Amino acid sequence: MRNLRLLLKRNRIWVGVAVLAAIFSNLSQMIYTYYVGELANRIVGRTMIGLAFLAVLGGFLVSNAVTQFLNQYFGRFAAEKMAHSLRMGYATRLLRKATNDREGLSVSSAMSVAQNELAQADAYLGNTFFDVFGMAFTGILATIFLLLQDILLTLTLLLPTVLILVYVRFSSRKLSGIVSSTQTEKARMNQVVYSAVSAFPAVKVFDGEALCKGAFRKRLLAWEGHATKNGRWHALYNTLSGILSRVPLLLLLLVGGYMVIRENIQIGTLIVFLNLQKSLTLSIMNLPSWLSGFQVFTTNLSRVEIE
Amino acid sequence: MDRRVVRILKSLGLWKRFVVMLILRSPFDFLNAVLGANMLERFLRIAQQQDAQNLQRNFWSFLLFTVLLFGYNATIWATVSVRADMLFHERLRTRLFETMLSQTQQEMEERSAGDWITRLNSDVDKTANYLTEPINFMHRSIAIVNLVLSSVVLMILNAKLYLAAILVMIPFFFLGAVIVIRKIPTYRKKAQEAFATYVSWMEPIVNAGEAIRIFDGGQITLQKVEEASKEILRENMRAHRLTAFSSLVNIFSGNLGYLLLLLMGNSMMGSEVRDFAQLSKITQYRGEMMRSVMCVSNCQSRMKANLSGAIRVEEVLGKKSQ
Amino acid sequence: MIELKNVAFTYQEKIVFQELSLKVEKGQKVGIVGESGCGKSTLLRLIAGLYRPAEGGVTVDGENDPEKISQKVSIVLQTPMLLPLTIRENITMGHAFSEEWIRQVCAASNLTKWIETLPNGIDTYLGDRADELSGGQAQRIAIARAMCKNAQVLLLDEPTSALDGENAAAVLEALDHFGEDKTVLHVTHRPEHLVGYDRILRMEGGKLLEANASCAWRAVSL
Repeated sequence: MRNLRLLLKRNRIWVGVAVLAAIFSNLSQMIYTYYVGELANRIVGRTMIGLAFLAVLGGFLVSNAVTQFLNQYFGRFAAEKMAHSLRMGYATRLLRKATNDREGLSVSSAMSVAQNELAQADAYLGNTFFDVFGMAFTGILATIFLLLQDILLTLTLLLPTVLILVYVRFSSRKLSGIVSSTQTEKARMNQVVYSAVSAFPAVKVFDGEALCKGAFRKRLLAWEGHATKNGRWHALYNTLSGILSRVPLLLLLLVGGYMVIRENIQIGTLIVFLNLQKSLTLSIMNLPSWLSGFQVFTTNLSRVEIE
Repeated sequence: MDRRVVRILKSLGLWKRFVVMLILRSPFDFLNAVLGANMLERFLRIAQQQDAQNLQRNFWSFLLFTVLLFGYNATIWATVSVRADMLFHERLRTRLFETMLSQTQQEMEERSAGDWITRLNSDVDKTANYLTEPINFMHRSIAIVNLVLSSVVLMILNAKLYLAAILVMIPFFFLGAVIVIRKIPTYRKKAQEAFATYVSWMEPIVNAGEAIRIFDGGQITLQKVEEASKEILRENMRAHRLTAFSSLVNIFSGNLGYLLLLLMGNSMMGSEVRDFAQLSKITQYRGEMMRSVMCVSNCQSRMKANLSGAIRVEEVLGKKSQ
Repeated sequence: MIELKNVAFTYQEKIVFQELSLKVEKGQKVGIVGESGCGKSTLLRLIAGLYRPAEGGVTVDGENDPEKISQKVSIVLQTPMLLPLTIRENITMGHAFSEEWIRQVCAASNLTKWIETLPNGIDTYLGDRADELSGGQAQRIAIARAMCKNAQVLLLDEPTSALDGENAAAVLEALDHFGEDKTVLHVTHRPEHLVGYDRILRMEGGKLLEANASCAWRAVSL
C-alpha cells in the first residue's frame, strides 16, 4: 500500500481531476435518470410535456454523455500517469542500485520483476484500476441518491443484493479450488507434450511412440475428469447466480408495485429505481472479484521497489 | 463460423453434435429477454391498474419462469455443452499428438520445439475458446438469435417505433463500434512494443551501472527510459480516448433512442401503443437489440484472436492428411 | 594523487583486502599484475569510488567521498558496458562536448574508419546493431568514452582483452599518448603492456608488492 499511496500522491492533481469527473458523471447520470422518471410520470398521468421540459431533458442527455466521456478520459489518464510513475520509479530505483551498492542485484531478477510484477501492476492500473474505482463511486452515489428517493425501496434492492454478494463470494471460493486442480492436471498433460517434443529423436530411435501415447492418454483422461467437473460446477453456480440476480428486480417490482398502488410513490420513482438497479447490483455483486483483483495488484505492487 | 473451424469439427466427427448444441443453447438470451420484457410490462400494468391482488401471483410465476429458464440453460450447459467441449478437446489433442509422433525427425525440425508445443497446447485451447468460451462464437450466435428475434418482436409490437430505434442505432453503432473501436488494437500493439523497449532497458542499466556512475550517464539513461515510458502512456491514451469516445456515442445513442421511443410512444398512447407498460416492454426489446449488437461487436475481436490458434491447429492436421 | 590507507574490503562475506595501503603520485603510471581473481579489478573499483571500503580510506585528488571520486576518474573495464544509445551518446553520455573533441577521441581510439562506413555515422543507434558489433568495436567505443571524459585519473582494467593484436597495439599506443599527463593505473595479466610504466605492482594474497621486491618474477615476466 505504501507504493500505491506514493503513486497517488505523485499524481494527486490528475487523481483529483479524475475523482471530480467521476462525481460529475455520476451526478449527471442520476439527474438525467430522475428526469426520465419525471417523463414517465407525465406519460402515465397524460400531462403535457412542454418544450422547456424537453430542453432540460435534452440538456441532461448531452451532459450525461459528455461527462461520461470526461470521466473515462480523466480516469484513464490519471491511471496511466500512475503507471508511468511506477515505471519510472522502478527504473530510477534500479539505476540507483546499479550505480551504488549493487547488492543483491542481478539482470535476471530485474528483468523478472519488470516482466511480471511490474507488467501486471502496470496493466491493472491502465485497464482495471479506473473501472474499479468508477464502479465503487457509482455504487456509493447511486445508493445515496436512491435513499433520498425512497428508503424502503432502496433497502428492497440492497438487502437481497448483499445476500447474493455472500453467495458469489462462497461460490467463487469453491470454483477457484476446482479451477486450480483442473489447471494442475492441464499442466501435467502439457508436460507430457513438452517432454515428447523435447525428446523426439530419442522417441523415434527407441520406438517410444506407444509409450508416449499411453502417457498422454492417461494425463488427458485425468484432466478431462477434472475439466468436466469444473464445467458442470460452473454451469450450476452461474445458473444459481443468474436466478438470484433476478430476485432484486422481482422484489423491486413487487414492493414498488404495491407502493405505486398505495400512492406512496409515483411510477416515475419506480422507473428511476429500475434504471439504476442494474448498475447498483452489478457494482455490489462484483465486489468480491474486485477485491481479489485489487489484492493481487497490491501484492504485485509491493514487490516492485520504486523511488 | 469460420470454414477452417468447420473443417476441424468435421474431421473430428463433432460437427453434428456441435450444431445440436448450438440450436439448444442459442435461444437462451432471447427467451430471457422475453421473460424480462413481459415481467416489466405485467408489473407496470398491474401497478397502473391498481390491481394489488395480482402482484404477488405475478411475482411467484415470474420467479418460477426464471428458475425454469435458467434450469434449462444449466441442464444443456452441464450435459450437452460440457460433453461436447470435452470430446472436442479429447479428439483434437489426441489427433495432434499422434500427428506429431508420426512425423520424421526432418519434418519435426521444420518447426522449433517451442512452435510444436504451442500448437499442441495453447493453440488447442484457443480453438476450443473460439467455439465455447464466453465472448466468442457461442455468445455471438446467442446474441445474433436474440438480435434477430427481438427485432422481429419489436417490429410486430410497433413498426414505427422499431424503425425509429433502428434509425438511431445504426449510425451510432457504425460510428462507435466500427470506425472508432477498430483502431484500438493498433494503439495497443504500439503500447506493447513501447513496453518491450522499456523492459529492454533494465538489462543495460544493471550491466552498465558502473559505467553510468563513472561517466555520469544517469540522466541520459533515465531520459531514454522516460521516452519509452511516455510512449506507452501516449499509445495507451490514444486507445483510451477512442474507448471513451465510443462510450460517449453509445450512451448518447442509447439514451436518445430510449427517449425517442418514450416520446413517440406517448403520442401513440391509446392507439398504436396500449399503455405505458407496453411502451416499457418495447423499450426493453430495443435495449436487447442494442446489447446484442454490442455483444456481437465485442465477440468479433476475441474470435479473431482465437482463430489464429485454429489456423495453426489446422496446419498440423493438414500435414497428416498430406 | 591517489592514496589508500589501511583499506579493508569484503565482498559477499569474503575478505578481499586487509590493511591495504598504496600511494600513487600525480602523473605517475602504475601497472598492476597478478593472477585472476586476486582482487586487481576490485582494487580499481575501490579507487574509482564504485565500492566503499569496510575500513580505512581511499583518497583521490584530496577527495574521499566515493560519489565525488567517481566524478574525478575515467575507467575502461573488461566489458565495454555500452547502453542502447547512439555511438555519440555512448561516448559523451549525453554531456556537451565539442565536435572537434569527439572527432579526436574517435580517431585516437581507432573508431573513425568504422564509423565512416555506417549509414548514420556517429549517430548510428547501437541497439539496432547489437548483433553486428564486434567485441573490439564495442571496447573501442568504451575507450573513446573514457578519453572523452578527460579525467585526470585514468583507470584501465584489461582494456584490450577483447582486441586482436594489431588493434590492441594501436589502442594501447593511443591510451599511452592520451594518458601522458595523467595518473594511470593499469590492471593487466600481460606485463608486456606495461613497458615504460613508472611502477609495476603485483597483487598477491590481498597485498600489493613492488615488482622490484620480487626480482625473479620481474625477470621472468618482462
